[in-house]
Formats: sequence, C-alpha cells, structure tokens
Amino acid sequence: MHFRKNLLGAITILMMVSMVLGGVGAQNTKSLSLAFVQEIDSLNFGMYSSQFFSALLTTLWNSPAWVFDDQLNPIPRLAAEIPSTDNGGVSPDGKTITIRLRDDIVWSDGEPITSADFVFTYEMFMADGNAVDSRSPYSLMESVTAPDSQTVVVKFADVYAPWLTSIFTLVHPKHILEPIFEAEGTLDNASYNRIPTVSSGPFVVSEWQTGNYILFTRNEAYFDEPAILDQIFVRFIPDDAAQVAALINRDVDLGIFIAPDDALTLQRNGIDIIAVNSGYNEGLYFNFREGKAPAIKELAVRQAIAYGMDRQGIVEDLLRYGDGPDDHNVVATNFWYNTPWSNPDIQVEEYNPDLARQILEEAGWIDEDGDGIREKDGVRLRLTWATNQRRLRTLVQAVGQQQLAEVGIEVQLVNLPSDIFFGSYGDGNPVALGEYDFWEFSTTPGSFPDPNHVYWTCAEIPSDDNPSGANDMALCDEELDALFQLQRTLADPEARQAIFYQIQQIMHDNVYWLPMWHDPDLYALSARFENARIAPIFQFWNAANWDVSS
Amino acid sequence: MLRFIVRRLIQSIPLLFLISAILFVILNNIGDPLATLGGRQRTSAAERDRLERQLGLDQPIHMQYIFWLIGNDWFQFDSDGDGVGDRYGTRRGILRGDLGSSFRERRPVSDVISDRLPPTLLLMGTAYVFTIIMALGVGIYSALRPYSRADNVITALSFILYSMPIFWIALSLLWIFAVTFKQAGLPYLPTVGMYEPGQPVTVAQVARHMVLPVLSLSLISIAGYSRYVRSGMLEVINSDYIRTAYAKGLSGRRVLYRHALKNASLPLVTLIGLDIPFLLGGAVVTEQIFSWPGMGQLFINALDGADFPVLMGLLMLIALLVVIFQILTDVVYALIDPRIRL
Repeated sequence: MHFRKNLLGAITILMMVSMVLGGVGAQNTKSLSLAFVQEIDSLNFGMYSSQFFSALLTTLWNSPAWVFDDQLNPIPRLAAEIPSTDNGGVSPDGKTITIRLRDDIVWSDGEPITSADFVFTYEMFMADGNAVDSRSPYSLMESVTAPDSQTVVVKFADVYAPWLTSIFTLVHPKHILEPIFEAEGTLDNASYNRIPTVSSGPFVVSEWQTGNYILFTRNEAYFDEPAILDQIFVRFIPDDAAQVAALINRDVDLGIFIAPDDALTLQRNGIDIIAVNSGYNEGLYFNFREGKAPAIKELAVRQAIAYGMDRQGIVEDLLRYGDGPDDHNVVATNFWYNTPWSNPDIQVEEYNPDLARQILEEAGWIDEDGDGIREKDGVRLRLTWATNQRRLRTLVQAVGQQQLAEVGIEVQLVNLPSDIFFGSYGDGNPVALGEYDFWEFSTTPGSFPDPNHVYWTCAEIPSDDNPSGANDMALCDEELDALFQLQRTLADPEARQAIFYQIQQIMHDNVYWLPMWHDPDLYALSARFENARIAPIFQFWNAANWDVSS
Repeated sequence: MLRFIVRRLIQSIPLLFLISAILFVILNNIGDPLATLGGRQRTSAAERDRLERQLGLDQPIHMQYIFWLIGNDWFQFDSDGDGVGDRYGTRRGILRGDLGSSFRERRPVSDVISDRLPPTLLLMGTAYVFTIIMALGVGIYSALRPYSRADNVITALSFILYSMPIFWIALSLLWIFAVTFKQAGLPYLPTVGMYEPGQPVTVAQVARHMVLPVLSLSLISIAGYSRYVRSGMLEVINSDYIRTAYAKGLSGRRVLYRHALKNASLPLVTLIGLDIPFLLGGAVVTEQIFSWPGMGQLFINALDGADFPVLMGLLMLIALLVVIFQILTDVVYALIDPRIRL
C-alpha cells in the first residue's frame, strides 16, 4: 500500500512540477519560429536536395541572382538588373544571357561575391565527382564564363525559354568550397551542405539540431538592408495535428501545407490563413495508352465526366478553409490557371448532368439492361479512378463516383500509397503502366512560374526504353507536341503566350486534362508575425523585412 | 557460463551475416532512392544513369553487398560514363566500421544514427522503466486481490488501454494537457520537441517535454505487462514453497518480493529481454506526434526516401542487439532460477 502511495505521489509531483514550470520563457530577442512537417536533408538545394522545404529556406541564407516577389515580379539580388533584350542581357538569338553583378555584394565573412562564384557553381553542378541531385538546367548550357569579376556570361546550346526561373537560384562560395573539392574530389560529403559556413542572405545558419530545429541568425555583413529579426527557428513537426496544436498554442508562428479543415480550426483560434498560388492545379489525367482503357479514349466519355461532376459544389463543400462565403478553393480552368499564361477565353464546363447523359447517348452509350449503368456493344461503361490515399482526394472520389453514377458511368475507386502512385514506369507504377482509366493529383509547370511543361509530349511517353518518362497518359497528339516543342524555343514572351493559349484550347476541346481546382498552398500565420509576404517561389524572399509585434 | 556466452556469440556470427544478406536484398527492392531526386519533375533517364554510376547503384546487387561489407576503396567506378573505371570508392565497409553514407543526407550513417540515438535512449529508457515499475505495482496489487472490485476495475482499464491505438492516446494527451489546459488558463505541458529552441536546455525543461510522450508510450505497455505480472503472481502465490515460506515465519513483504516475485517475473524477464533491442528502433508514432528527434523518425524518413544505407544501419543495429539481449536474457534466467543451467 505504501509502495503504491509513494509511486502515485511521485507521479503527481512530477506532473505538478513539470506543469508549474510550464509557460513560455521571456524573449529578449526578436525571434520567429516556423514549423516544417518535413526535416530537410540538406540546405544545399538543387545540388544535394530536391525537397520543397529545403527550397523554402534558400533565400534566408543564400542570395540568388534574382528572386520573384509575391506578385511574381523578378527582383534583382546579386544581379544589378534582370537580363533582357532591352538592356543587352539577352542576346538577339536568345541563347546567351549576360548577368551583370552588383559591385557591393559580399559573403558573410566579408569576401566579395564575384562572377567566379557563378562559374564555380556551374562547374560543381557539372563535375563528375559530385553526385548532385539534378544538373538541370546547367546541363543545357554550353559554357559559363566570367569576362570580368562582375559579369557572368551563360551560353545555352539552344534557346532555353525558362532560364529566368531556373538558373543560379543558389550561388556557392568558391573560396570556401574549392579547397574541399580539390582535396576530396567531391563536395558530396562537405559539411557546408548541412551547415553552410558562409552566407549571402539576410541570415546565417548558426545551428542544426537534428530532428529538432535549425537556427538562423542575422547576417551582420548582409549587403542589403539588414534583417529586422535577430533569429529564426525552423522547427520540425512531422505530424499535421501536432503542427495545428503548436500553432494554436503559439509555439510556432508559421505553418505550411495546412489542410482545409485544419485551416478552419486555426482561423477559429485566431490564426491567419493565407493562400499562396504556387502554380499547382488539381486535375484528372486520362489514359491514352495503346491497348488500354478503350472507353476513356472516347471524347464523349471524357466530356460526360466534365459535365457530370459538380466541381463547384466539390470545392465549396470539401475545400473550405474559412467561414466566409468565398473562403474555399476555386475551380481551375486549365493547367496554367491563375498565371499570366492562362487563356482567359477558356471556361469551366458547368455542372450539367442532363447534357452529360445526352453526350453519352449520342455516342452510343445506352443503359440497355436498366441497371442505371450504360453499355455499348455489350461493354459496360465502367471506369477506374486512381489517386493516392490523401483524405481529401478520397472524399472527392466518393462524391464524384456518386455523381457519375447518376449519368450512367460506373466508377471503381483505387487508392494507392503515394510512393507507388507517384512512382515511374520503371518502378512498376500501375498508373504509368496504364492500368487505370483516369487518375487525379495536383502539380505545377516544372519551372513555375515559367509555363514550360513536358507531361503531354510524345518523347516523354514512358516505355521500356524510357522508364522515367513523365507522360503517363501516353498521349501523343502531334499538333500539341509541336506546340510544346515550339514554345520552349521562343524568347519572345508574347509569342510564347500565344502558343500556350493554343495549347490550352486543344487540351480543353479534347478534354486531355480535366481541371478540378486551383490548389494554392495554405500558410498559417500567428497574429504577431508582421510583413510576411509569402511568394509562390522564393517563398521567403522578403525575410529581411519580417518582424514580430510586441 | 563464460563458455556458454562465447559459444552463443560465435554461433551468432553466421546468423548476423545471413540477416544482413536477407535485409540487403529486401531493402534494395522496397523503393527507388533516385525517384524523387528530380524535385517537381521525375528524375530523367540521363540523370538516373549518372546518379546510379556515381552512387554505385549500377553495380549488381552482390557487388553492392560486398561493398557494404568490405568497402569499395579497392574498386574503380566509372564516374564520367565513358565505360572505364576512373575513381576509387571511398567506403571501408561495415567490417571495417563504416556503415556507409546516407543517400538523403550525404553524410556517414554512423553520424546520422548517433545524432538520433541519445534522444531515443532517453525517451524509450524512461518510458520503459516507468512501464516496468507501474506494471509491477499494478500487477502485484491485482494479484493480491484477485476478482475484487479493484482487480476488476484494473482488468477492465487494462483491456481498454491495451485496445487503444497509440496515436489516439498521444493526440488526446496532446490536446488535453497542452492545448486545452493552456486555453483554460491552467498549467500546461509543451506540445512538441525535446526542449524549447533558444532557451537553455535544463533537466527540468527536457523532463517537461518528456511527460506526454512517456505517458503515451507507457499506458498501453503498462496495461499489457501488468497482466503478465498478475498472472505470474497468481500462479506462484498459491505454491507450496510460498506456503512453506509463510510457515517459516517470514514476513508477508519478504515472501512476496523475495520468493514470489522472483519466480513470477520470469515471463516478464523474457519480454524485457526481447523488447529492449527494439527500444533503440524508437517509437515511430509517438516520436512523430511529439516531434521527438529520435530513431523512429529517422526510420520513417529513411523508409520514405528509400535510404538503404541508413535502413541497413538501423536494422543491423537492432539485429545485433537482439542477439546480445537474447544471450543476456538466458544469463539472467539462470541467475534468477537456479533450476536453469546454461
């Protein structure tokens, strides 16, 4: 009995002491905490990391040649101006880009940032000793040279239209890394990848406690306006529900990738929610692989799906992130929706189940046996709809299945683990192998905000010879393919925009891709977080201006 | 006993080799470490070829296993793709103490694991000690009052707790003691992490952060272990030797703890011996929910990224500890029960 009493007493004391010790310590410094649901693998984004969360942090510690602000305007950082044909930065043939650098830019150790750092960065991407995640777009360059310490000349083998959004998004310090590369023949194991020893951004990396947090402190040698904050903590909180709890308890000031239903909870607890357009649109992809999915290859069936699903109702009911009437996602009109490349003439098909039924009947799909599902030539109109196991998508599938049944289409739902669903043909991904009629996910043009994309090009159809091909739909429309190839080589933005309008019209008329909803990233911000202007890319581009209210 | 230990250790060497070979084959087939390296776009065929060459993944699986075992500093790799080996590898192999390099973090696996091991040992060790103490207390209390009202309540509670998924317990504790208590103006516990960033790391602060994860980990285990203690105690408590002990005039406490518990704890010793190695694997769900920077999170991250070297390191560490603790369990058995001879 005494033992039990002692034990209970000890537990009670432990709880009381720990609770009494609770509370947030006094803050003597201006500090913000950001919650990341994924711990990054490396801070050296592009070379040794491809993670979104690593990309988020780049502008805290590394200044690229230029950034894009929250309105997607390019803002020079290391460059003195944005290269263009008018200022001679882009050659008339569009293949040579000349970047002129500012004369006052320095690393955090006081060393000047020069064109040699740009050339070194290019060389490190291309060095055989470095197992970098991706050499794109440096592998498309013929050369990178430095005629003087403040001029960088990039020559592409062919015109590469998306250069503005993809070159020199990070620039590395030659004076720090060259000795390591010369000694070891590789940068793969350089500690710089994890804790960069020098910075060119408004903050320097001070500490990385594995699994806990990364601490950024103000770069006192920053060449622009110094940061207002003294420090930023990036805390790793892998569980969504725990992230919500930490936001509500004011343990963190920013949360990323907030689910719509969590956003509602947060707003009701005084947390601001902002939607940032990062180019993502959710949509349905259709199977055109030869010998597979015969019904979905019929335009009438795809049109019936477009008219037979109440996409507006779905976003209003399932993608609501606030209590206001418009606090929900909107239905996208095309793959480039909400970008300057989006064709304004293309409109969403209104929900019209009668029209869906009529289209199917005119195409010969009739419910002959009276069971509610249509048949043609004895073949039942049964389709498979695949996606991953994200809860929101499973709900949308359930609603869509019911609505399509009402127009006579039977839909079987498939939910695959994400690693399988997003795998490649070479990985045996059943989607890429053509096992399903249509599937759903959200993505963005590969070089967003540049519109370039390869999904529907013939050369990207995955096969035994091309197991990593991105065109899982196996669609090869020669007219569309030619337009995709052409836009990539056009230096003139207006001409390119006209091509994209044509691309979207063809995709819309043929229902090659069915937009579901515009899919902005939801960020949660504490009330004390000031001057946060989260951008679609270079999300933390104005971190130097971030502040906290008292 | 020394002969027994040496014999078992020698027997375990081929077993560990066999385990490592099987694990290596399985892990090399669970995912593609290059699949996500292209970022928003799928890794292109050219990039894949390059990375496979540079990371040694283009070698046949038996060669990769040999590299993992004895290193690759004797083998020339073709880093530029011209079909001719041009660079010696840098790995020394597990037999020379090199667990390899993480594909994701690009740093030695031993560093990756050693960063995560102390937090896991702290959390799991505390939770385990707490569990055993509580399980012994609850189990003995129940056994001494079989089928009483208290025993029935404990039995019911044990089954309820044992049936609960750990994520539900963890999230409930988080929302009650961290969020709701704070909103109600009561003293509250921290939501996530091992300590508050930017504040001095003190024992008190770490202890505060441990309360909820330790409780989450312990509640289910206490429910399970206490049933073993209860049934073990019930079996021995009516034995002749216990009656004899009482007849000799020994005190109830001495009979209980010196004679009954010693024999009743044999099944518990087996369980503990089997469980301890897995404590190092961390607690995946609890660590995720409370953002505890331990091995469970590392395991999930490595699994997500098909980071074979890290997974091999983790699983071989656990395999080695299973072997060691099985030997230790047998030794402890012999120490507790003189009838058992090694």
